[in-house]
Amino acid sequence: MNPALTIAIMCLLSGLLMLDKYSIGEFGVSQPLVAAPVLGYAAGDFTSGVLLGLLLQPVWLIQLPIGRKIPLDVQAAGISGTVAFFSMRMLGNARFEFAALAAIAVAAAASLYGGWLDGYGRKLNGIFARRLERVTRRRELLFLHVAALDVAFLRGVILAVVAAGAGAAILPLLKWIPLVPLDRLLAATFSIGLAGALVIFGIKKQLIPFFAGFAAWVIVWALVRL
Amino acid sequence: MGDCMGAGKVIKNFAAQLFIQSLWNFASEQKPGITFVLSSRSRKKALVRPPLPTFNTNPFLASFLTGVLVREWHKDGVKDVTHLLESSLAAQGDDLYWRVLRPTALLAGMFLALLGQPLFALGVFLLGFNFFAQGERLLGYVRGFKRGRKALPHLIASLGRTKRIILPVAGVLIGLLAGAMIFRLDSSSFLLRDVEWFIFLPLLAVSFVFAVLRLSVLLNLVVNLLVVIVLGALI
Repeated sequence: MNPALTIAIMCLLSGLLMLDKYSIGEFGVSQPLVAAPVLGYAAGDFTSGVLLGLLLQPVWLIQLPIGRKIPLDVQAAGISGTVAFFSMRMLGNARFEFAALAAIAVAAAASLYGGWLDGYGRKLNGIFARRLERVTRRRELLFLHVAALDVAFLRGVILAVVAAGAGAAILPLLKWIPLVPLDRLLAATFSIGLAGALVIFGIKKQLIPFFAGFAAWVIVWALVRL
Repeated sequence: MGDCMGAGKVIKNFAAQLFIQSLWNFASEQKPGITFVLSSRSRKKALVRPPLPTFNTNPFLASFLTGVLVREWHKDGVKDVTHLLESSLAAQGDDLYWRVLRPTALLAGMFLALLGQPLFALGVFLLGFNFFAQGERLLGYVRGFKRGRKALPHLIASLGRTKRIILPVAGVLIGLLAGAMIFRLDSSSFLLRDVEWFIFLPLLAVSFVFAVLRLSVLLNLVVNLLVVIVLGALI
């Protein structure tokens, strides 16, 4: 398929995936572990999508949307990183490792400005909500909800379009990006996720289960090697 | 507000609950969402607004609160009960669903993906998370409607029990993943074939310090990437 058309489809899909954040659900399909393979499938490379989801998810594993707090936008990170990655792969045939490292950088930036866009979307929702105070019919209420869904959808599309543009802009710079093997990239992001999870679940309470899991893996590893 | 409840109403409530956060805003928070939910079951197609100027609770437990509201709509003190329920359910629900359940389900998915089972990974994460989260959204309404505010202690105890079951599972998963990083399998489907323990362990220690000190994960990411880039140049 034409790369431009594939990227356009990915941008529309990103809008739909972004609806999972607050708007409908949430079911979890907007998490990088799921969103990246879904977008990868649309791009014709499911396996790379899985790897990218695995790479991005641990960094933003522990972002808690509690109360009024707006955390780093994990959904924006996953969507933007994946779209940037595939635009680099499709438009410039970039090597996986180079595109993956650049995608992590795009995802990190998107998790910051995605949070800002999220705040802006909620302010727009505030305008709709003020109008809701004057509404008397259920049909008008439904209309306002649909308007809010449109805003969320557009947010996903905007994030994806910016990421695709960023991916295209980064392409000439890839020759200066150092080659980091996938295993090391995974070590860099997994260590963040595992340490963060251990701390947030409570270190003291997690020690025994942690060592039980660790020992179980060592036993499996030893048995496989024997 | 109607008083009878059938499967149709439960499903209708579930469908409306999916949109409870779609108009979330800083002024009235989830109030438009709960208005949507309450209005969706009104026979006269009239708008039914909650008895508070703002409303905010955990989205999965809002279903239980809706059930209580429908049951006790005409009783005295419904405003106080709503306020009490929304704050206690927000605290308990956020702790279970966002802090414990979702990361644990993601850890399980990540582990399976590492083992080269991506479809199982997606399935386990989505089923694991939604079984509890959407299950509560579906059935919480029935519990709230049948027992009213009296069901709150039972619900909180049930959430606590679920958390106590999930937390050790999370610990085991972290241990499995850390083990997989250090003791790698020589299998074609295993994704980590060349990761070096002498790179992973220092990175884990650095990340641990960042997590304990509650420093930014993005700063942590920059440090970790710099370490692997520099080590890549040296080794």
